[in-house]
Amino acid sequence: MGFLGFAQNKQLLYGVSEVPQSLLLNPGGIVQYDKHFGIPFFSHLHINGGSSGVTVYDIFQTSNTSDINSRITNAIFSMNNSDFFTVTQQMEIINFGWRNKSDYYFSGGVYQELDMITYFPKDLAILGWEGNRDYIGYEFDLSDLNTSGDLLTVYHFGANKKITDKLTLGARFKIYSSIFNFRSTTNKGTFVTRESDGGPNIYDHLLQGADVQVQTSGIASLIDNDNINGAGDVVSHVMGRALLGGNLGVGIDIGATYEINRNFTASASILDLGAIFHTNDVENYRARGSYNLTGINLIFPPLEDGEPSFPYYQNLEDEVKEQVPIDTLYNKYSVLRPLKMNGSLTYHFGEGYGKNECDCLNRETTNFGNQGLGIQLYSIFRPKQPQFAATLFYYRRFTEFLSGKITYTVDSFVSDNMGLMAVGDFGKFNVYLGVDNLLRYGNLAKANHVSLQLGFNIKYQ
Amino acid sequence: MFKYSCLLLFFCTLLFSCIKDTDFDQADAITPSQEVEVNFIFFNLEIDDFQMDPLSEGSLTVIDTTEIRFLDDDFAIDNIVAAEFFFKFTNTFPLGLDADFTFLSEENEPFYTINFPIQISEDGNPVLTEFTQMVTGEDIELLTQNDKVVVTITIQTENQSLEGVLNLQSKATYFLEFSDL
Repeated sequence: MGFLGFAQNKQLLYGVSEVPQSLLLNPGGIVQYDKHFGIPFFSHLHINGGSSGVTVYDIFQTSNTSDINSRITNAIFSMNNSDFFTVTQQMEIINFGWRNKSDYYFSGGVYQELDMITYFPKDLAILGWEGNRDYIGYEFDLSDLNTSGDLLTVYHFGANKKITDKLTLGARFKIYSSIFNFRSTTNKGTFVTRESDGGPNIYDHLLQGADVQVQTSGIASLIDNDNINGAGDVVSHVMGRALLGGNLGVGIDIGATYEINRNFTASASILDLGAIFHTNDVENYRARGSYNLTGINLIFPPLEDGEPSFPYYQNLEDEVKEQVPIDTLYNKYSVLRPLKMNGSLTYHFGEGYGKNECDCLNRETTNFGNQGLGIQLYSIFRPKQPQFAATLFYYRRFTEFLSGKITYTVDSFVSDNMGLMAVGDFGKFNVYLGVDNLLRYGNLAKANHVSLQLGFNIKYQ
Repeated sequence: MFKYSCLLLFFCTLLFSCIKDTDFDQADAITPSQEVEVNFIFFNLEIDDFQMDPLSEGSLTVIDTTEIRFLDDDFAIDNIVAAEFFFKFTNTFPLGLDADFTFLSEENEPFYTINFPIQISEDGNPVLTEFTQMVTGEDIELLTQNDKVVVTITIQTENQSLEGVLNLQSKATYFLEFSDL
């Protein structure tokens, strides 16, 4: 089992109860409507790309004082092996929900998710960019290679209920259908070129305790399948795996909202507590061993005319393969889903709106406190270590049909991430749009991280 | 009015977001330039290893060949812009020797040669001979046509009871530029 974590914080959407998709971030959130369904394929689109250590501008800036190669060199040396690159994308296919006579709000749907993360392999980048000549004696760490990616479909169904006047609980059951997965996160070993101390040649090129492994599922059949010819076959193959034909997994989300008093509300959720079991179409590659490359040792054997010389080079290659074999394995593996945790505390204030009298503990119907100020905390398990984000937010409901939320987030990417979300309820039609890193919108090339989420729903009060 | 101004500002921000002060055509100029240092050939020779050379009277010769398969690969041809060979001979023979490294193509045509003398050991103590050959320009094109090297060591004597040891340690440095990424 291993952790595979890389989905991104959705601090803008969390707690915005006008948007049905907020139930995917906290199944125990407040539900202000009696029925909803998302516009198929358009109810939630989330795109996120990020790099914690370098921006596009850092590399591709127009500059008269440095060339791109020196900027890449600077970037390689300014980053470290805990910096990372991520791509996350989600597209909701179906989303629906309804309240039954017992006041349970059931919701379910299907969404597709792509998540990839690659930690910056600093040592390997230095070796690849500059070679070993200036690094005699330096041990290049193979564990810097740490990458994983997942394309999957998630089928989910959950229930939400206001248990008491103050407490709302919810849970969601998920079935994951993995389309493909790759991961290489537990690599070990070092490579060093050091001056030989009494050895046969000038250097010892030492591969020490190498154990490099790449696990894949859903990829080998795409590459090796003679029946796949062209994009149509690929789409058909992928669709089959998306529709519960791939490797399956299960997970749950749980969440709660507690209305402490007239002004304060606390909420928390745990998402994707589960795993995917990769049992079919699995192909893994593993290289293990240690080796010291000393060069080619000529032994000058006496040869007759025309007799071929000793196969030194072939023997060297064979020796390397014997000492550091690369095996193709087909053993099953499991990957824990990236466990995410959210928590928030909100202070509600301001006047109500609409025609109803204020009923402070029944805000969903009386609209007390059209403004909220609070803090959200977020964490996610990643392959190397958990990551955290803290958000200050201000929410305001401007009118019965328009609300907005502004966030200030400190996270692994930046310490000044301003985000803005607008939500419109035009009759039964619900629309929302949120963007991150507004301070970089003047020039997105300078952003470490960009994120967009939008969607359209139909809601019935 | 304030609320609509906020909304207008929000959408204006999105509308006017852009990427500027960047030039993605610079990607064509990305040229990683590695300097890779690797062990090359090593050996120990005693007088018993040498043979009479019918083509060269008054001397003994030893000869061996090894493949260096990567040297004429497309990867090497396209990306090696210079190479440096460093040889370190330690000699205790009381006579001069000659070292010859002839690089041969797959068809056994010689395209590049390195040769140099090895210093005498007057008193039987080890004498160091270090030789560096830098290969650049057109010579690199010649070097990368080869996939093997023939090593010939010649000692100026026919005395096969001579005492001594000849040791070689060597390395190669390849200067690579990946200009066609």
